[in-house]
Amino acid sequence: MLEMISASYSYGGQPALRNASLKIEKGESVCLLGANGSGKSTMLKMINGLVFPDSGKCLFESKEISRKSMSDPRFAKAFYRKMGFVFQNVEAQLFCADVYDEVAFGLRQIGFDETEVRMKVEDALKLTGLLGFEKRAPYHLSGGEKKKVALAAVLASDPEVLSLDEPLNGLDPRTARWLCEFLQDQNAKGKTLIISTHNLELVQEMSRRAILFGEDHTIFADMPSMSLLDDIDMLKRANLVDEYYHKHQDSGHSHFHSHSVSGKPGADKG
Amino acid sequence: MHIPENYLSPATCAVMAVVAVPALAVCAKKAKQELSNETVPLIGMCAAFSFLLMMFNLPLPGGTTGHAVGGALAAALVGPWAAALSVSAALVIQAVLFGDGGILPLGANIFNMAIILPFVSYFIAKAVKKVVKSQAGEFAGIAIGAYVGLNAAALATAIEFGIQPSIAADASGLPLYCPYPLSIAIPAMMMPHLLVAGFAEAAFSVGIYSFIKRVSPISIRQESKGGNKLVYAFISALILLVPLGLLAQGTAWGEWGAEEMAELVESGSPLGFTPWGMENGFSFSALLPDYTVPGIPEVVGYILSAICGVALSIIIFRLAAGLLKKKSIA
Amino acid sequence: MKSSKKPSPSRGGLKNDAFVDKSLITFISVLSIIRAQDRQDSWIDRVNAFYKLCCSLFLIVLVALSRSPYFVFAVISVHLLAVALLKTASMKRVLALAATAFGFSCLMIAPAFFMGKAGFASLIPVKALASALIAGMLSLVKFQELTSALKRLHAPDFLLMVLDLSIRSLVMLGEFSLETLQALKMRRLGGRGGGYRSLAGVGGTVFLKSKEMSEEMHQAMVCRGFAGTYRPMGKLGFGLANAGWVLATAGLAALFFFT
Repeated sequence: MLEMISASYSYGGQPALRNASLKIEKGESVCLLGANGSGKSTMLKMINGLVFPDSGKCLFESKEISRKSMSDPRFAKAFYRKMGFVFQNVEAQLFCADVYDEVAFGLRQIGFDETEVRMKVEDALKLTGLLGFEKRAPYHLSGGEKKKVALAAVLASDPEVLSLDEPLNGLDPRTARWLCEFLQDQNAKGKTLIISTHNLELVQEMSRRAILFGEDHTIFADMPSMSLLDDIDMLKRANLVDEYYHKHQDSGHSHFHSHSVSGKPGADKG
Repeated sequence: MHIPENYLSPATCAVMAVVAVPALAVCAKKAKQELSNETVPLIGMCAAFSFLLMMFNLPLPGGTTGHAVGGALAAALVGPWAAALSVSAALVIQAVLFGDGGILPLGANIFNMAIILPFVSYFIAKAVKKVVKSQAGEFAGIAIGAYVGLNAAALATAIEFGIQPSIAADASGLPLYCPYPLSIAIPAMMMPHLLVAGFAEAAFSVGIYSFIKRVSPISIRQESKGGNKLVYAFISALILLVPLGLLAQGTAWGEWGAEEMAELVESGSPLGFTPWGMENGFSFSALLPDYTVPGIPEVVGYILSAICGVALSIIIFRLAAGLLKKKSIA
Repeated sequence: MKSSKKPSPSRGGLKNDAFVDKSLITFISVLSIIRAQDRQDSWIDRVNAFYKLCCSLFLIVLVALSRSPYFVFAVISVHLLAVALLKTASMKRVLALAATAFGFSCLMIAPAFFMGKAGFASLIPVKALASALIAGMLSLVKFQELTSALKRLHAPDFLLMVLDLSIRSLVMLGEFSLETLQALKMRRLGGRGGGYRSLAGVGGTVFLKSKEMSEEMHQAMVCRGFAGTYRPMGKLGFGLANAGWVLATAGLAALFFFT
């Protein structure tokens, strides 16, 4: 349903994404991996029709997403209804006066009447465990709660594609775990998931397919997440991990981390 | 420079609001045109930014501190239209949520700090930049613009204060609102601004502007090409015409006090209004002798005193209880 | 611009940091006032913001017009009574606001008083006290309710959205500036000079942050299909608290017209 054909984008003269080609099918769950500034966010923004390729193409359901096609309000409205995007910086995403209005915002733009809005908002709040937060102001919430509000706001209008930019950043382990399970659940319900992350521990849990970005802003690898994580050499070349990085395979489960040696910071802080 | 409540006559406040609202509407239209649909978030953010700018305490000579207004800087960074809207939003929030500046004189405050300041400084900066084309010229333009703009705003404030005694006085010629004539208001307002505050504003504006220019020049608004002459003319006309409007309403509305208000409301059946002389006015500040307020029918005075007394004792009791509690914890 | 005449702390090397400390205090107090908005308060929150706004504006106009000390006095007593019933934190805030307004006003009017030219202006400090109490009570209104009240008064969506966004941004940018200022304080170590330069750095960084966030916020709005409509009006009930509020205002207005 989603296709990119050698798309490139640069921001203020600096290349942000180079010659990216990929195809994502309906119902897939894809992780975008890469070091900071390697082009993950740009790719997500392009998929969501927020930036447009300088060269190359970006297609959604075989229709080109470009400045020109998006200037048709009917097309843009239909497109944005199918896409849901949770920004890395949720602060910027929450712009309404209280949680209820925040979740209702998208629904009201679509044009639901207030009773439908109320029903859908309640569903979304129930889904994210936010019942009782309706009257709170989003900026007074904790980081985890804000993320949940952003998620509820996006899910309320029931998009087909759900993209999340670094969704685990700044979450405590418990909330991160909750989010992982929640996303898997959404994927099982048929939503297409596109998640950017540099948290290697959770890649496997979240998706079967991983796309690795190199520091030259190109797609470095596109393969099953299992085999990508085994290819430590590849991860090193993409500068995602350092030389102390290794994989534990004891006690029946595997996890990834890097031990701090002589004060070197961990790779997952990357 | 925030004008508080009760210093300007309601008539003056009304005139200033009548001026400020259409000016802001024009600004909104121009800002939307110039920034397309990015306007709302940008103005909201920039309002917060200008609010925060007013919270930076700047070191001033003599060990004191003061704060900048930031209108000049905002105009240089996002253009005068968006700056006017942003500073206005900041002023509204300050008045309503923080009690900083009155609610009735909001129109006047917006006119001084959100319209005169950004537009005057913007045009001066633009003119200087045209003459001296180097980067130094640009910075000098912003400095001069900020200095002149702030002083223009202060002058406007002083004039609004200063005309009060002549346009709002009672029958015996005593002032109802700000009691200082232009001859006092202008020097009192202008001296600190000309000597100190203007320079602080200029230094702060240039400092931040040059910092942003160095770190991220693309964040600064690019000059749009022409086509704005008519709107600029409208704004300048507004700025020039306001003093005339204020003076013109002086004779007609100056006496528009409580009495006329009562007549208006009671549709022409004037009620027995006893205008209060100075003596009575002063005796109010005496300490409620015998629990009655002088000049009020005794019963009413008694009730009012009682309400006040009860309220005050509750407040004192509760504050004291709070203090005691804190002490016992500590 | 207003300058505070408080002397800076005279602890030798730290003296030059007074402006950073003062800025820090200002930022913290502003943020705490906005945070206090998210409280579960008492009866005052049951009064609808719409009635509160209309009544307050009406009373402020009456106070400004009034030449009668006892009308002003009545306004003060009724509001003091209302203040006395607030929760302690809110009470302190309103009283502090009123005291500041009164004190400032006294200072400003004092010269005229001595010149014997004061006239009704001698009422100004008392009026200032009354207006500050009214405004103080109004300032306890939850900001989001205030924008709904404005919507009811047919304010354009554009304005409401700008106001709502400003207050949100104020929290985000305020917290950001606070952290930047704290970092500045730690790095300056009470060093001398460079005050303007370092403040300009903080201010500039805050602006860049705000620019970046506004771009993101715009994108987030686009993503959720922003088409220019903002928020519908809520229901306007008329409970006991509202009735009480309106009645009190009407009573004061009656006093204004009939005394």
